[in-house]
Amino acid sequence: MKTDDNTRTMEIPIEEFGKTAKKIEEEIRKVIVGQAEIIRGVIIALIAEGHVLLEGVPGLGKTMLIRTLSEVLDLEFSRIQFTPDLMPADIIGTNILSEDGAGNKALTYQQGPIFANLVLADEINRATPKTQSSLLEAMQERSVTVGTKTRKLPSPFFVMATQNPLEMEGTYPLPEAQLDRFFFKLLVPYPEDLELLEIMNRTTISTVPKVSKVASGEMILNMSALAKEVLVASHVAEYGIKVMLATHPDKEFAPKSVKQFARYGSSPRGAQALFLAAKIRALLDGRYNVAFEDFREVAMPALRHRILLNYEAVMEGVTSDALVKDILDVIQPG
Amino acid sequence: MQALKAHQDSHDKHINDSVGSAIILQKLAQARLHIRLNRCWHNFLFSLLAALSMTLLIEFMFRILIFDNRRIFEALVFTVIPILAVSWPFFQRIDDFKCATTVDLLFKTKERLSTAIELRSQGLRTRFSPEVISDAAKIASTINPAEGFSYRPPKQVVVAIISLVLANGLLFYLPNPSEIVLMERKALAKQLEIEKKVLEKKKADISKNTGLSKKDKEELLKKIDDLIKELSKKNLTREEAVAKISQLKQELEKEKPAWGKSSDEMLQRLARRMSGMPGIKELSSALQNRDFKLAAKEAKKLSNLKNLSESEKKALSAELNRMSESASQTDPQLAKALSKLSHALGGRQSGERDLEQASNQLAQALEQAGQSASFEQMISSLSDQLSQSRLSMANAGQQSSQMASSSGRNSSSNQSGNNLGNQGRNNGQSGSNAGNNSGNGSGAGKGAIGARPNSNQGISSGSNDFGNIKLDRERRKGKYESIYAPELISANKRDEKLTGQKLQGEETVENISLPPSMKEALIPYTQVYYHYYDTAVEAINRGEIPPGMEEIIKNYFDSLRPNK
Repeated sequence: MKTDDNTRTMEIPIEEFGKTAKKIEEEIRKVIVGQAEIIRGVIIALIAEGHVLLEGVPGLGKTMLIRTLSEVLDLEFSRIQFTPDLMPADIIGTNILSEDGAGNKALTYQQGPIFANLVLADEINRATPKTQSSLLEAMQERSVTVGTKTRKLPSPFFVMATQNPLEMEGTYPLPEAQLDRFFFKLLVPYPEDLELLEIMNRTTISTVPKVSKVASGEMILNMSALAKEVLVASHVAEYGIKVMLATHPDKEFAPKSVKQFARYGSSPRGAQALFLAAKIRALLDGRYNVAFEDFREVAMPALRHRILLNYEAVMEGVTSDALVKDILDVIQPG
Repeated sequence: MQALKAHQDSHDKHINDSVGSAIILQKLAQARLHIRLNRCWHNFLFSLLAALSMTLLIEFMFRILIFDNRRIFEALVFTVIPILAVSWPFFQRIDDFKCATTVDLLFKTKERLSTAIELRSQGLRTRFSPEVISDAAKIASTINPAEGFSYRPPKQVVVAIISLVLANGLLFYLPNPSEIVLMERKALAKQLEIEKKVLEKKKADISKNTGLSKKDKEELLKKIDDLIKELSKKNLTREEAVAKISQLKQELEKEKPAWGKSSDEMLQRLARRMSGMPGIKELSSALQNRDFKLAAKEAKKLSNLKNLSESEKKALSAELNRMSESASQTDPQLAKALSKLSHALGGRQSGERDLEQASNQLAQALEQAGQSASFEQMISSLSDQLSQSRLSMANAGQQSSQMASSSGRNSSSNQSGNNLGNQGRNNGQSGSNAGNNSGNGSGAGKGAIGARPNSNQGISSGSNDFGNIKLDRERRKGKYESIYAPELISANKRDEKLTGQKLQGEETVENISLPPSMKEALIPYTQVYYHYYDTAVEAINRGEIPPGMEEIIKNYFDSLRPNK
């Protein structure tokens, strides 16, 4: 399904929200074993119309998760395999010289794979920064500009990127500006023993689990609109803001570790992600209001990639996850 | 129809909102009471913690900075802080939102109530408004504030309170050098007040004393006034006070006559000598009672001595002559008057006129000698008083401080004992030298001097020697061992008839004087003492005592002096 930018959202019943989200989750679980938090994170980002960056060593099912999601949703899916020789035009498209039947030659725009509802940017950090940056406009403005013409991307538009850990060979770290455009950064953990056994059981037999499409793009947009109606009480909102601001080393209430190891904290886009994710989580939990725990639950994926560490942290091996954990330990509700 | 249904839906929602809000508000009202009670408990514990910490701090500070009234501070800390802390929650306004946030946190209702309250109070209307209220109401109806708000004191606070109680207790029983200093100061201040009162009393005594000349009175009163002023100065140390008292005492000592040259003693000697003489018994009695004005009157009546027999006149003249010799060193005028009277009585050519003149001269001399004696007596009394004051000042606070260092706070009661002792002494002083005042305070010990029998006498019970104390007690009761007087053996001979069987032959009668019984050979100590005392004085007057030894002899006789 590809819709234009004028797609109108309709109010859906509140019960529908939970049911749809549950269906999506159940369908994904047919293929993906375990990774409950990752699946939940992806669904939250999806409802928030946010982009997701999945990080993990090869073979953990990152690509499989996104591909399954595309199968569950009635959306147009495209996959871009990022390689070092991938060029921006390979992603956003380019003007090519074409000749019509009459022999007239003209430059016509050839769309790139970015023109889809759900774009899988596989191993995004294997491409050069130049190519990586080609996604910047698409991710934020949901449009691409080629030459002098700007073209809108279909709605909904999601970029689901995967990347290998940065320390691996042949990788280029994503620029901060690009990282900030990701709603969530999810770290895919290694499966547990039992999960691994289940994976073996499922993947080493001849039958492949089939998933069905349970939600349309319109439904996702409606769900997104509905989630924005969730109430956040003032003291809860203050807590969310405080958590976000605590990522800034110059804030007096920031934890000691943040002051020591963080260079820059989260942007306001981080706070937006935090609030929206908290609202969706509340709805998924069957509530109509945001609780402190919603902020605490979504803080890690929403903020971890928005904290820029300093050289000392790199040398000490301190991760942004540790800083977010410290923040949550120090900034307590109430 | 659709409009009607929409209206019905709206009405239902409104009712639901109202009912939901009512449920929420009712639970919040219950919760508010429990929040207040919990805060009371919480505040009480923390105020206790604060009070204990402050007390500890005050105690520590008191060991560095000496300040008075710390007990008041501590009492205030232990009363005002907890009372304020416990009552404070009932004066605090706990609005619905605050109450709801507390309930949310306590009952883990995921901020449902606070969101509902905010929605209700701020009129936030979203699509989820009815659901938020309804959801919150459902949760609220499951809550029992009485269970959720049971207060459990934080372990750290309990541990801290126990630790502080132990620390305070330890500090309470440890000796406190600052407290010792403070107690010394207090004791010193109290002692100074007592001494000032005693001096004021002394001033009154001097003012009332009719035997003193005006000049002597003024001089003594000025000295006492000066001393009172010195003792009233602020920040006076014990050493300074003792020094001031000592200074005045030294000045008074200079004015005291040399031993053996005291008019008072001399007049008493004369009185004792006169007591056995005919015609002058009244004079002797007046002198013994130190009523020198009466003595002067009686002296004027000595013109009646002309009626005595010649032998009596001669004997009296001879005695008066000896008296004159005895008094010559101390009071030449009196000696001259006595000599003149002696001549008037014993002289062959003396007439009544001479006797009258001599009597008048003696009266005049006695009056002057009486004034001197009164002055000496007053000087002596004041000097003794100052000795006593000096001793009291020197001891002021020492006993209490010793007790404070040995038993911490318990010293305060002992201090009061010491003060009682001093008070007792004060009472003893104000008893006009009554002598038998036993003003021993309950804190009597080294420092308690109220047991002094006579301020003139200067005998202090501040001796550690048990034997001395016993002796002193005996003397106070007037019990003295009688003295064996061998000369009585010849004076009180007794005849004893020996009986036997009469046989044949010549009868021989022989009178044998047996020595008196032991009982008869004993003289009361009081009689003996003054005999030896007078003899010693006369020996000094005759210059038989080597220079510099007079004081030793005086001290010796003073130590033997019986209670008057």
